[in-house]
Amino acid sequence: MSKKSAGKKKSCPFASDLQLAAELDYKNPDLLKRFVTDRGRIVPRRISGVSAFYQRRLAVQIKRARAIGLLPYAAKGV
Amino acid sequence: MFLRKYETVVLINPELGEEAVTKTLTRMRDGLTSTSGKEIRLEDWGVKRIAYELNGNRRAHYLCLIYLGSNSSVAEIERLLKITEAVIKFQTVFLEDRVDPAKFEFEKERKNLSELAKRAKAKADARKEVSA
Repeated sequence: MSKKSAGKKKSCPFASDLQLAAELDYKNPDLLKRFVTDRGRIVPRRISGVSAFYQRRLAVQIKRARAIGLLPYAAKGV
Repeated sequence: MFLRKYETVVLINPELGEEAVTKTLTRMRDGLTSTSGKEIRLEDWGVKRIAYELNGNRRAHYLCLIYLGSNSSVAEIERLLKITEAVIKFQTVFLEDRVDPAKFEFEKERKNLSELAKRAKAKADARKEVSA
């Protein structure tokens, strides 16, 4: 058994879809929700497959959305 | 003279009614004109749930003003928002540097609504249809 899964390499949803990349904005919380966990934390890019370039932009937009209450900061324990 | 493009999102206490919204809006517009800024468009996102509690509020009326101005426009608008009691929170985002107001396509930008604004408009239209 190999340690790493031999699954298909994830591709960045933004790099492969420039239309989606243009919609990456803090005023679009429905898109951002796909990249936070149900507790409100930002999903690491090793899980989501987002490229480093877009992960940096994504993080900024998520934080802006949090500041005006469109996304939660961290949900308290479940 | 080059200007900069900014947008300011404001959260207004929904319990104070429409009057508070218009009052906040006139103050913002006053601040903008007094610092020779130019309004591009106003987005009304309506009353929305806040993802967390803010000063005891779970809901807020969201407004988003997009404008051309200078750093003093932002300072003046934020100063006015701070002294407006109905305002729960606000956030200004810098969008574009060195915009030439003479060449700026105001009409085109006016129609360039964000997803939230589109949804709020659709909701308001649906409500109007029901009541009509």
